[in-house]
Amino acid sequence: MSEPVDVAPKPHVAHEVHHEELGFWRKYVFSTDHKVIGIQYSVTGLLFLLFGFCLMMLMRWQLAYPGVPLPLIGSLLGEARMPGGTMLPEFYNELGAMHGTIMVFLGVVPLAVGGFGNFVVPLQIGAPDMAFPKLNMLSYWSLFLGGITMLGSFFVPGGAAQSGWTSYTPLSVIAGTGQTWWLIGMIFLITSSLLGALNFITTIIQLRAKGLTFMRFPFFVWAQFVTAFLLLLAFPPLEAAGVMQLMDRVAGTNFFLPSGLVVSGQALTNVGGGNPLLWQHLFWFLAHPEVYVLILPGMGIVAEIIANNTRKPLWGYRSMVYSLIFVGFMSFIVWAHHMFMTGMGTTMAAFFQTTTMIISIPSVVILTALIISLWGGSIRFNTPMLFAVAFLPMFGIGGLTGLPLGLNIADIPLHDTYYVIAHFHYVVAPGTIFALMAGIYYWYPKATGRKMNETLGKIHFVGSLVCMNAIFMPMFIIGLAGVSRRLFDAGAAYAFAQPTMHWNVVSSWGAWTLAIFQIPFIFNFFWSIRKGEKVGDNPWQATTIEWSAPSPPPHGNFVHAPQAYRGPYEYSVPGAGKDFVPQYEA
Amino acid sequence: MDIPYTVEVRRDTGLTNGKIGIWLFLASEVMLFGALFASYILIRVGAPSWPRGDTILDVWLATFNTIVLISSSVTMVMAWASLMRHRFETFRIYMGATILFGLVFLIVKYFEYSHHIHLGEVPSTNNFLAIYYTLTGLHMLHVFGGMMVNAYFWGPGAKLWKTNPQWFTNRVEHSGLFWHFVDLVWIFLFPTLYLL
Amino acid sequence: MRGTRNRLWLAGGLVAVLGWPSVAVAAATVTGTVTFAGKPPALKPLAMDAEIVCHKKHGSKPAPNEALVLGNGNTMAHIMVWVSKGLPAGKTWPAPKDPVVLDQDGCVYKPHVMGIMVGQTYRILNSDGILHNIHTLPKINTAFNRGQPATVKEMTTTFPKPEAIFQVKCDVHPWMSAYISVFTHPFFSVTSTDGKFTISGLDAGSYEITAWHEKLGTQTASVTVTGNETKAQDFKFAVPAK
Repeated sequence: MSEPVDVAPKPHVAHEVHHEELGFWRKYVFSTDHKVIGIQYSVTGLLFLLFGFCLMMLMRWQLAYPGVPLPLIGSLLGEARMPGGTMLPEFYNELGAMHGTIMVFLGVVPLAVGGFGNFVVPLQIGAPDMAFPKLNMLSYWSLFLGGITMLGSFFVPGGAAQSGWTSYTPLSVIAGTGQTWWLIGMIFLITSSLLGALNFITTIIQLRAKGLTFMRFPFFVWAQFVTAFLLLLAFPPLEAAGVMQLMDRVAGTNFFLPSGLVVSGQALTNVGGGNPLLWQHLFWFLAHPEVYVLILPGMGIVAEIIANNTRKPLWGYRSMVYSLIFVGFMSFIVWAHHMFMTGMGTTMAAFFQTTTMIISIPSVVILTALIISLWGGSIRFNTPMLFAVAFLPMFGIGGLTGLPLGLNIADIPLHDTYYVIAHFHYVVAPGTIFALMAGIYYWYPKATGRKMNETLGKIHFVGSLVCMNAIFMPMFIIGLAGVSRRLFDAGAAYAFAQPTMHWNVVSSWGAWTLAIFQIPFIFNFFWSIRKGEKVGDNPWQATTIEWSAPSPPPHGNFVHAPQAYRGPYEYSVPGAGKDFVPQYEA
Repeated sequence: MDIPYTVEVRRDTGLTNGKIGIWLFLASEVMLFGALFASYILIRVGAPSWPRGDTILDVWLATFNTIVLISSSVTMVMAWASLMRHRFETFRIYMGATILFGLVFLIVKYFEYSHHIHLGEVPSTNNFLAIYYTLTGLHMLHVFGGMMVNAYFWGPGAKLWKTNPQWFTNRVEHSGLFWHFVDLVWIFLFPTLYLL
Repeated sequence: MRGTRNRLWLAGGLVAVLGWPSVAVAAATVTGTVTFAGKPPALKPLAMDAEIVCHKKHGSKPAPNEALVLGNGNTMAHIMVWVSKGLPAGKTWPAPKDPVVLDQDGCVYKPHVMGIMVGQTYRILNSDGILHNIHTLPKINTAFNRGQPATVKEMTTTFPKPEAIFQVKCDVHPWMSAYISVFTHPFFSVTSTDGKFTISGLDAGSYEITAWHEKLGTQTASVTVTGNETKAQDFKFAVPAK
């Protein structure tokens, strides 16, 4: 049995001097350095966010002006999808299904977990890299392959998946080839997340610096830690389900095909005996923890930025950590609140609505703690802080509007209406994406050695905040009026929907204007790489360990092995020389 | 650069990175097979009729396979134990045996599958066969994957023994943990599919 | 005169040579009437309450059930009649340039039964100004399943392979149904309410003619035609005895 070696980590001297220079491909493309991989994930995620945004902008034309030919772009998309520039219903379905899939699995998660997690976590815990650098690289390329598969699916006969991002059976089983590609793409993406998750957990447990105990972690590290557990344990059932749906589609099995299925007036000749609800259970068993995967990293980012820009420790750090862990655990036992309309009995419904109500508590604790953290702070309203503070009410609206959905009775008129769309977009769009934007502005100096331009950032912020609300607030109204989601004409065919149809125009113009306001951000992002204000190691006067590394950090991250001497948010400590005492300073 | 705790344990956790990594991976695998077992239960409970495993499947062949896999788990432990005792040649013998047992398992499964396919019993025939093929097929892929890793450690990967015997021993242990898991899944699969 | 006789022979030969094609021109016709035997069952008209626009279009006279449409004297409409055997193997007939037109009018497909040739354009119109869907259900050709919203007044497609009669349905309006068959030759005809079919342009020869009804099955008959004659062949369909 080997003797345990002294726990002090070896000095992580910058190794570029010792190793021979890697070629271009090993250094920038097939790199095992967590920073390069983090940037790869981030750029990929941002590009897919943009693509998913474009899909949505197309949809919004149809929703605002059903049946009206789309000028210019309409003719580019071909007769098969937009004859005469007007959108076919099946193309609308394609856009809807792929918008959801791409935003969730190829946009937000790669950016929030793959991007921010990979880049920041090792730096924040004082590690030289992730525990398994080669596995990390494999995870990214698995994501890349998944992304290519998803993009490629647009070009197969019949187009991309059209059965919703939820791919409910039996519709998805009888759907065209694009659905098979969706399933294969998902298998790549799930594999990427699984491998990444085990890397994060191992890294956080094993590679943290000396003195960095769990309760001294920056909240961001805790958030990524819990998120990784969710990914690790919740994704496999969807992988199993994906394999089963693939077999139904390709091998003629009947896992999800019931007996006596009639399609277009013709009875299917398959054996049947399957259960469409089985797919829903397996899907939502992942997809509910998935929504916490979408929000937790964002909460982590917001926590860091609020502590830093209020020059105060976070209020209720311990309660926030316990809430995080509790949310993670509870997220596994609420999934069927997505299935209240499937005919479950009152007992099942009672169970799931109870767990759903309970899970709202830790979320509220975290949000409240963040809000209270502002009290008495010396607030700096830089761009990251603007986005972080805006996150709070936006997530608040999203979270509160989720409550009626979690109650069985209240869900009945709201299920699958625009109310649901408004609810989840509030949490993810002006919620998580604002947090991610905040994170980009905040950690950009660490990654590049330059700050992004503040004026452009503020324009980006104000425009985004107004437009996000313009898009999604009306959807509550439309949803309460009873308009279903996934209608290609936004309800134009229904008499009861007529009074609220005009709100679609508001949402659409909000969306197109939101796109305009991303231009300052995109410009800023690239321009600042060369022309941004140069900064040193710690431009934000922050306390966490990543700010002790050079900007940008070299291979190996730290010149001297960092050590944690205190908690992560020692701001405004009475008697200290400056208004912050870094975690890493002796 | 060197990632710490790849070979030596971290004192406050008592673990190496690889040890945690493999256990986490096994946790995710439990969820994967768990989901399939759960699906099996749901489909079977909802089915108007369900054949008893032994009416369609060959129990004796599967019993033989069970003994083969359990034996391979024993030889796997012996392989790792040999490394702990710095007996490299003995390691090779036991690891070779483990790989061979795995190969026997796969060959038996091949005959089992071809027999069924010959009789027209394919995944699309009924849900029992569908879940049987899916569960055993996925398991088979895991056996194959484990064998590939073991073969690597028996063959080209064995070079690591000379340069870093501690690391090599650890890696074989992790592979062994995976192999035990694969064996454990079979021990659940066998009664569920063949006997119930 | 010898010269004149020669010219006469030459003229006669020329006439024969030039006239031969007109003699060899396929000009035989098979025609007939399809009638229903027995008391026709009363079928429920198509219920269109689910679609206000079409419900209004039909007003007080709801669209009749298309499965059995009879004219005076119980003549049957919507019978597809075609030459099923006897055509020379390997011969190809060019597909007409004109399209076969399917219209969606009053949430009913018009015509209900049609034939089309391989490669001929199938033109699908939407006269209703509401969302329809064209879902063909072939076994050999690739299925065609596209939405046709109000703004898409016309769609076209073609069928590259010959195929026996298959159904066309609308996934939005389940009562809508049409039938189409894809032929390599032009020798098919669909009856209207007068029950009459006409297949013309046939070469002299023996043929098998098949008549098809969507519920009552198929019937065949053998017909031999020569020259320019018009042969009559009637069909009678009846509900099978239980």
